[in-house]
Amino acid sequence: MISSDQENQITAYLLSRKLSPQILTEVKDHLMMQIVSLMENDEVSFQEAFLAARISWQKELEMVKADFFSFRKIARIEKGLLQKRFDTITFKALVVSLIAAGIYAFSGETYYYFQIFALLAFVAIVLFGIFSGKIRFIEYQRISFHPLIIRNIILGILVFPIGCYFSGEFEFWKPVCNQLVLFYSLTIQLQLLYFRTKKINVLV
Amino acid sequence: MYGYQITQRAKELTEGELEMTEGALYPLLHKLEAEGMITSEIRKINGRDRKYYLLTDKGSRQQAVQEEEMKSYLIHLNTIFNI
Repeated sequence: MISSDQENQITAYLLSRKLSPQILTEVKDHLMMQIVSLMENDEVSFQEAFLAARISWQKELEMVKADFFSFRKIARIEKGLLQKRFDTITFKALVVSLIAAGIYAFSGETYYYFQIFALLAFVAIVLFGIFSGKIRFIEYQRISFHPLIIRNIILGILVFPIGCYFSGEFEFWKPVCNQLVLFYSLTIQLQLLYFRTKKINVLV
Repeated sequence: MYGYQITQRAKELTEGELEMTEGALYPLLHKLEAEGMITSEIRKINGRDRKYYLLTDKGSRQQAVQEEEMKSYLIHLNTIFNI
């Protein structure tokens, strides 16, 4: 059996790897089971078993850069999960933006209302998150520097001048392709806020 | 079943031939959960939280399909190598 002091050592080690609560529970349980098994079957001390278990998890718990556009370091296992979540967020934002483009093709007025609806949803999530205490204001500020948002800013820098050039408009928000990029970016932010209110780790 | 139990069961069934790495297991379990193939619940075991994974109906149907595909693949492979 593992004593509470030994359990605290395991928890402290995993917390130093900055694991989110979603994965911390199961990794801790796995590590503890592994240590107990080593102690019983190989008749080694806790420290030896803990070291062996840490070695077997070395690659997964190695600290790596969370994203190309992030300075934060997280465990490799967490990065894998996070990147999959980012892919899903990006895919959903693309689908919604394509739907918005389809709506625009059929009716400009409906597209206008669609944009207003998205903006209202964004404001509602921000207000709900802040007033219910699910998002702190500092976290909302952090979203502005989120890797996915930085990617969108770069995308905007690349697309906006092209959109302005081909439409002949000087205000960047007027060409439809630029509006769709803004809409895509808004959908990404909406999802990040939603995940944050649900306490799902999206690197905020 | 919980994570560690899955790795041990796989090892036991394959007589130690298949050793799943932890890093591969958990991302896969989370992916399957996101796809609705499995569901999870936290149970308190000896005062400690343990996450159990359970197969959903969708997961069971998918399992049957995958099993059939794998059996068919193995039969074809066997046919080729027996020639």
